[in-house]
Amino acid sequence: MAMDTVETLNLFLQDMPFVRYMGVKVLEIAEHGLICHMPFKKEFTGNPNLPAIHGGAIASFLETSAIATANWSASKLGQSDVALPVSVSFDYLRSAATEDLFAQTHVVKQGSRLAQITCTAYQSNPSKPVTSLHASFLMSRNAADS
Amino acid sequence: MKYPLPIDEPVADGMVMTWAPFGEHLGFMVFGFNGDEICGGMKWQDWQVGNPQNKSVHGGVITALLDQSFGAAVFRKIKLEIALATIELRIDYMRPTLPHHDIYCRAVCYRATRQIAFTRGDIFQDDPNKPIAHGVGTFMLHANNTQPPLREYMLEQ
Repeated sequence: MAMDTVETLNLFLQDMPFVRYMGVKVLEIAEHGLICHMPFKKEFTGNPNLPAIHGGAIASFLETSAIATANWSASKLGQSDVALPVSVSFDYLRSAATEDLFAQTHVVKQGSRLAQITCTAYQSNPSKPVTSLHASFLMSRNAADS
Repeated sequence: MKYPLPIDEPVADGMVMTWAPFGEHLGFMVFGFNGDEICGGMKWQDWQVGNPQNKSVHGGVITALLDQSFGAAVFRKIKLEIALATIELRIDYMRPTLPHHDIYCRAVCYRATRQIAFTRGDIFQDDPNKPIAHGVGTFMLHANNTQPPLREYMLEQ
């Protein structure tokens, strides 16, 4: 399936039960990456006293955004591979308020075997990022090897 | 669910990690401790699948389980009720999870200073020698003025 439009990317994400639960959607395709969105749900809270979103919920959002980006980028080059995450590294920059999250993603490198993607999550103010992710993906020709 | 390794200090029947709503919702459990190491896990649940082809659990769920277990391991080590913040997490995915098999996690805080704690841990299913993922996490202690709603058993010697 070509994943070159917001609609086809969202169909791809909707196939993943956990992504359906988290409510992650692609909003927009930019020149070197995507803009993604995750509406806030009460269960995403990590520290109810602050309150702040759980680091694992932000991680799930960013990793999903990175998966969409790696598949979009492969599709743009005419590759039909499936991107499988190999390593992910998160930097938590400030605590995330119990509000919606957005991510700006960027394809650092798309190769025939590996893709490297960075994503930055922010809330109401894009110049105040909450978490950043650097992820490496293996491009697998055959989803069965995963 | 039965934790597939011996546990020196088991927690009766496993306890849900209720102090963070996200962890509670995903079903994270603590089964007990081996010294500073925390033994935890979660039931396999179909709504947490990330890859519809091989039905493996979404990487975000694995990352969330490690993050929360790392936090618990820091409290186990420092035995203080203070606020923690994750600074950095790095996870390697070594193989996909198998569907319908429960997921286990062991995590340890191997060094804590006045301000920073260092943790490592892994995720496995039936066989601890076939890791699903390995991770390291760095935490800031006294991250803010709030108190985490910890359970007493986390602070017991």
